[in-house]
Amino acid sequence: MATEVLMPKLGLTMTEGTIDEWKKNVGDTVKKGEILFSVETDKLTNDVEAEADGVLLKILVPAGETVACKTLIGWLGAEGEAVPDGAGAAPAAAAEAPAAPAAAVSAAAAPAAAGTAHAAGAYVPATPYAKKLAKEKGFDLAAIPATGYKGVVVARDVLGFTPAAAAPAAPAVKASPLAEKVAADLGIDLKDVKAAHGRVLAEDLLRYIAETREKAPDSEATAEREEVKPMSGMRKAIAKNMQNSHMTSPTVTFNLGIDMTEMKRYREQLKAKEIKVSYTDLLVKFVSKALTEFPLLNCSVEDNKIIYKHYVNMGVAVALDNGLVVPNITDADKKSLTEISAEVKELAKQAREGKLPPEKLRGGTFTITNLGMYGIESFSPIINQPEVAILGVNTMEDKVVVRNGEMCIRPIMNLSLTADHRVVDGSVAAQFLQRVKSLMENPALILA
Amino acid sequence: MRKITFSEATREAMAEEMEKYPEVFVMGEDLARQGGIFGQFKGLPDEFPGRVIDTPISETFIVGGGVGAALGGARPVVDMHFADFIGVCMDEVLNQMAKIRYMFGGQAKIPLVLRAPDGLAGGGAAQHSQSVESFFIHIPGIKVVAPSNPYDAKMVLKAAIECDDPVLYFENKVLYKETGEVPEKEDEVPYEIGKARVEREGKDVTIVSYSIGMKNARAAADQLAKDGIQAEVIDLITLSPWDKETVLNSVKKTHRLCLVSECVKQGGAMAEVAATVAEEALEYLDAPILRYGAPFTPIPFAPTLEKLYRVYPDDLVKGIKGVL
Repeated sequence: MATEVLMPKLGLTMTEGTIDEWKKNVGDTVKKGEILFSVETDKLTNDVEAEADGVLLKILVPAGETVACKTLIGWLGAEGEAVPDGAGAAPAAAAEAPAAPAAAVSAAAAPAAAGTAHAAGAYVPATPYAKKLAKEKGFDLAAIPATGYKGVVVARDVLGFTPAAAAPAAPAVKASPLAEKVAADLGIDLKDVKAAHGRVLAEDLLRYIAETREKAPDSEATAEREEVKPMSGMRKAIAKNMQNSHMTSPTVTFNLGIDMTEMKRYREQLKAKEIKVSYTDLLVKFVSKALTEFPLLNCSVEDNKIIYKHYVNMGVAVALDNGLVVPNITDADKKSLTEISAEVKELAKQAREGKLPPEKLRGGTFTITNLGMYGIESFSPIINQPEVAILGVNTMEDKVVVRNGEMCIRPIMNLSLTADHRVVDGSVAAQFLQRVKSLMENPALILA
Repeated sequence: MRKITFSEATREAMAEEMEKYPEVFVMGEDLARQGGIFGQFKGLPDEFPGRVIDTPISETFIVGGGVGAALGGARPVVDMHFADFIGVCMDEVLNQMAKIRYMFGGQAKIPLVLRAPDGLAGGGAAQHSQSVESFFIHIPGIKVVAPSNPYDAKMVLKAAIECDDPVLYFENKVLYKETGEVPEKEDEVPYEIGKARVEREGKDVTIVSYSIGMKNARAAADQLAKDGIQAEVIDLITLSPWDKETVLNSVKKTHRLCLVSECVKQGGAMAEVAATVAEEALEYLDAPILRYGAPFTPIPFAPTLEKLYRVYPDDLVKGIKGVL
């Protein structure tokens, strides 16, 4: 028996997913546990394993399309096995209504998810009255072209329908359901579109649109110098989250220089004992400690309520080639420096490989974002909602400073704290930053 | 035909009934001294001395006293001042007025009319603008009426006074000032409580409403007619017991239903109509049932917000065109 392939629900908040890539072609043999396809959600891209052995019989949702979780996207089964009802549109439609538009639905790459109301076996939305009339007249609803609201078959469609009339006088242009839908939406006559292989597919339509657009004189000049690309799922998520944050939180950014002399020495001491930690690791440790003392920086706001978190889940922004993710280190305030260091490395690795478990992207209470490696001296990061503050880390640079009335050279690193002024007043933010400074300039305090 | 206002029509009904039945009397706040805050009792105190009674500000007494008087053989008409205030005397309405005849096995009857001016009058805000009919159509034991024009106002009020059961008479504050044709007494056709009226015939969509909502229904039907869409317009007049047959017959003809009322849409009076049509005539529907009412929010005071709160004929026209 064939096995359904469904759009997975990866985590509580996922409602839909985009097929990033089918890793197997129709007809390929798949072993249970092998990567079958990858899914792009608003958070990240995940590989999905096959849940059974078999042959990939059919792909219902091609790469690039977005469908709701749990939607049927393909079939696995034994070689040559028939795909159950609703997916094997071609034979059913051909037998049932050879002249109806549905007959053009063919098996191969027909994207049923984008399809028409007429795919054989699929539910045909129709009003109760239209159904009553169709039943009385013995018509198959699927054969009746719908003209009603939302593409629903309404009474006039049934009343104006005669089975003979469904047979077109001139042979209709054969087209895939997707092509038909797109053509209808854009008001393109399919007769004008040349099909590369027998029937008009979406790609033929896209080529046609591109060709006709090029001919338009006014768009020519700009078309060559501009490029329109749809946002990736991650880019959309970043765009949405950043805009939301900007609209939600009135922010103030505070900058403070830290003398890293002691911190550098501390790091060297650890290194001498074979314990290698990055400045990010150290920051996670020290900032987590400070956060336990400043609950207002480690909270979130909901309506008129402040939710204090009695734990620190420290988010660390990880830049990727095509975007950014912020996995968090759970209970960072209770972890040792080496534990933190190992976890930061692991999360960054998973993030770059696109394999972050979704739960690592939820529940953060504070975020650290480090642009020091680019020589940045100060910036105002955007808060990772629903958190109320984010710490921007800048470059460490030797600077001339005055100590005890004398000039000397010290490694100075600026910290840029952006805080949500709804809950974090200036004095609180300043005191917090001052505390971080004091801890980092006196590393021994971490034990206190 | 002569034209009089809705307010005058109700006054006429009162006068005629008081003339006809000595046991009819009126009580409420500011009726005798002021003639009612909307002038709907003007002149009655002089015409019928002692039978128009001003009460203290106690809705509990107004309805409770009315129930007692009805039990004692009178035919009281009591006035709520604003429909919003019924909350004060809810026990008298829910448990006494509506239940006594049943609890006494029919040995007592309550021929009481409770008049309740309702609706958005412009700047009345959340406590003086409500349409609360939906609460009362959920109560077995009282009849609920809400006329939409002066003639109905008169005939429905007369029918209510002559009814041996308690009747809740909702009269819209904006409609008071509106004029309409009302025949002379000898040409009047009595109203039978529970009957709706097909006010305008059509074949494309049935618009059902009552009270002030009828203004939207009529205006929408006029606009649709310009585009060749024929709307059938039904005035329910009585909300409980409502005229199911008239609505179902119309839907079976037009196959589309649009409901509109001024009250809050959620759980509103029209919800019952929608549900009944879905239960009993689903197979005749060729479009989703459209339902228009107020948003689920207290009535705002600010004129700009009150404007947003209202339903307009354009809403209906747009909705109906969307499902044709």
